[in-house]
Amino acid sequence: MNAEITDYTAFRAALEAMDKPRCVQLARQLLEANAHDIVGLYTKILAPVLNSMTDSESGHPAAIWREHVRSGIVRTVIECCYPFVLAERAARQTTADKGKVVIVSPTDEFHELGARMGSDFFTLQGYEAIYVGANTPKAELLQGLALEKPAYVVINAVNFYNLFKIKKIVAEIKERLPGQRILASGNAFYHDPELFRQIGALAVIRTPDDIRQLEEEHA
Amino acid sequence: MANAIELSGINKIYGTAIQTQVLFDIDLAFEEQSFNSIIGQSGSGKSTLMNIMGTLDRPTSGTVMIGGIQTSNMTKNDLAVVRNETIGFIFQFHYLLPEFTALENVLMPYLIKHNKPTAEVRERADELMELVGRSKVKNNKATEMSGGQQQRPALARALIMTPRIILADAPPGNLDSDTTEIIYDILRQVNGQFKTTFIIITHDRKIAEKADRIVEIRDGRISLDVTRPMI
Amino acid sequence: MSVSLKIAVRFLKSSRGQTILIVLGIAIGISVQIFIGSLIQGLQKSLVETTIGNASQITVVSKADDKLFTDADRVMQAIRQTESRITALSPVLDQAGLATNGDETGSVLLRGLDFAAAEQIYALADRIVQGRLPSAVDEAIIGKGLQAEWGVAIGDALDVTVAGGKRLTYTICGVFDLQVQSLNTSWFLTTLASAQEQLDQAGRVTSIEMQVDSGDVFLADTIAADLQALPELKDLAVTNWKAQNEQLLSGLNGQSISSIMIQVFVVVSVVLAIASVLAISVMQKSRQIGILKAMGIKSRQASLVFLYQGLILGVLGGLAGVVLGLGLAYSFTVFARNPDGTPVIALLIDPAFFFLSFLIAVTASSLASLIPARKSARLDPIEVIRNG
Ligand SMILES: Nc1ncnc2c1ncn2[C@@H]1O[C@H](COP(=O)(O)OP(=O)(O)O)[C@@H](O)[C@H]1O
Ligand SMILES: [Mg+2]
Repeated sequence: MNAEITDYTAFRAALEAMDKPRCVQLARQLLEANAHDIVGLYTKILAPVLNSMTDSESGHPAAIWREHVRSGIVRTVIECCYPFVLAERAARQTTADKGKVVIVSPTDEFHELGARMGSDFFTLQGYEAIYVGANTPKAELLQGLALEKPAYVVINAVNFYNLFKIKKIVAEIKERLPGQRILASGNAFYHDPELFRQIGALAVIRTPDDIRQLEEEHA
Repeated sequence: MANAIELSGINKIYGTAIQTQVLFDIDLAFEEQSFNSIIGQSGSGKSTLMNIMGTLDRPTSGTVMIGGIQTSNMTKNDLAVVRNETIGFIFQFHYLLPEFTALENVLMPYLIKHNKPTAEVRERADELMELVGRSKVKNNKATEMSGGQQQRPALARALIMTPRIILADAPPGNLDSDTTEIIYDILRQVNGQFKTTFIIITHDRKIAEKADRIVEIRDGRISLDVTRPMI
Repeated sequence: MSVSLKIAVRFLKSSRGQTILIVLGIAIGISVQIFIGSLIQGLQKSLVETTIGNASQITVVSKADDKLFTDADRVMQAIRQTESRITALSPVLDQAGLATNGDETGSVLLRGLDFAAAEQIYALADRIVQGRLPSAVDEAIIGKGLQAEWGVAIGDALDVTVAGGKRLTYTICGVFDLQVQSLNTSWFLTTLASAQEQLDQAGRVTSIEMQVDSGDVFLADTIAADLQALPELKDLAVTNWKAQNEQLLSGLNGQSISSIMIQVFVVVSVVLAIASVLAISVMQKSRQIGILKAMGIKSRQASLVFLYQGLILGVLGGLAGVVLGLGLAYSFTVFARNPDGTPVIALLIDPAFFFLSFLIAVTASSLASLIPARKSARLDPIEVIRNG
């Protein structure tokens, strides 16, 4: 049987049971055994498992409760992966000299796992990823950007209603901090390849490949 | 899927001496059976747009197609028929006719077309009052209800002709959030059950973010038009 | 029931006070109109009645110098056959004369009447206040005026000298009162046969007097013209009361016109009142009309809502007006009475006129609702929907 599928199934079973120790343990094992790298773990196992469960459980009376518990477990898993992220970057011999990247979600955006994974991708690519977190008010963001002067700011949205807010934030960043490069990420953007342009972002980031492509275009 | 409503090149200018342009070159189409919301600041032109979509107002230029049929050359009577049969309205300011009971209000669009209610349509009106959770007050005069209480019978009235399209201009924040959610659930249920196309102007995030598509109007232009991502 | 009618009824019911007020307004207007109409009609009828009720309405006279003609029976036969509207037909032989009673002398009109036929015109049987009708050749009756003037008693003899100096003597067998002073002092009535014999005019008459159906009184002139065309009457002249009473007629006419004017103004003010209330009602209901139009009510249906309101108000107001008018007429005849107990004015209670008034109320209020109906048809729903 395909190893990837086995790993997926095992992790899914653990998450389904909401078994936090097992989930953390499984992830560490996979990374330690080099069965997956960080990107593989995130994109082939964590994200799909989480999404598949949200899907299959919608309609369940406790669906939202369970989704939140599981998101919490996955967040812990991701936190626990940080040493591996650093190790992987060291192994790649990439140093953190490409500048800072600020990763935020706007107010009322509470889905942050995607942004957390994304910040690790930037770390792996040699950026100093500053993950600000979910539900960041616009004023704080503008202040932070002025302070940090990052190479990129990545604004994340899962709920598509937040796109309207992001459009306004982008416009304001451009006005207040001319030249600031702004990127978009999150599920709200992926189904429509034109959306990022409409909200005024430079590009949409979904995978490490997108980061590399961005570097090539803006080298 | 075919479009329930299709607007192209819509401009709306108010006034003759002092002209105010309220809508600018709007191209917008809504698919049949879709559930859409329109958002935007007060004064951005949402109601004007909705009134044009509902054939209540004529655009200064541009065309409106309802169910694939051009409306620009229709007579007033033709438009009345279109509104009666294919569009259900929920108005921003007006709910029920105060001279009639809630149930009579629900039957009114049917009476306009047929004069007499059949046993079937009476039954259907009862069912709709049930659906919107207002069976108990169906024989109350509209004057005995608050604006908020009138909204649900108004929804039942919009549904009585099983219109292909429901246009709702929701009042800005005069409903508590529980009621909003209940109304939303009813609307969704109707959308699933009768395949009705919904276009709802709303100021309520809870309603807007649950639509399949959100269109934002800003200063008379579409500033952003997004569809819900498939997970 | 059409949706427009349903809405109209509901609108009227929902503003009950306003509805009652308009109905009352129409009712009062129509009752006044009915009252005035009945009053004037009654007045005119009694006036015409006193003038021509007991008089010849159409009269056939001779064109000859001696004012006599012979074939009265043949003429009457012809008239009876061609004209069914004639109710009385009475041959008369008139002769002016001078009556003397001792020293007193007065000019009289000696009239030979066929009392059976003349009864239908003069109703003399009822108007004999003393004695009886004449029957013998030398019997005559005189009017109350002459009798009082001369102090004549029943059984007294009076002489009458006619043209040519012939002196005739009559025994007074009765006194009549025709309620017209000039007739009561001048008429000297005897039988036709007596007059023909005494005056040596056997078979001759001076006129044929006629009355027509009471409903055709005002057609006397056309009937007279028709009679004039008969071959039997080609040497005779036909006159009628209208030609002889032009002043009265023009008086009546003026009265009718002013009565109609008053009635028209009453109705016009009713119409204006309804129109203005309905016009306000369109404004009051513009919200509802707007919502209904947005829901797809057609302009025609929207205007019908107000036409029906006018119609309903007219029917209710008209009925109430007729009832009120009857009440008014009734109380007027009951309370306004002469000392002798007879009504001051006999109103004419004419069902046809009442029905006409009712129709006027309905038509007028329907007409009054035309303007609001048009407004309602033209109301653009967007004005209402947009402005809340
Ligand atoms: N009859 C009118 N004449 C002039 N301006 C109007 C008229 N109706 C609406 N407007 C203007 O058009 C703009 C859009 O109004 P509306 O469509 O009601 O906006 P919204 O529904 O988004 O609040 C507003 O600026 C309003 O003042
Ligand atoms: Mg509005």
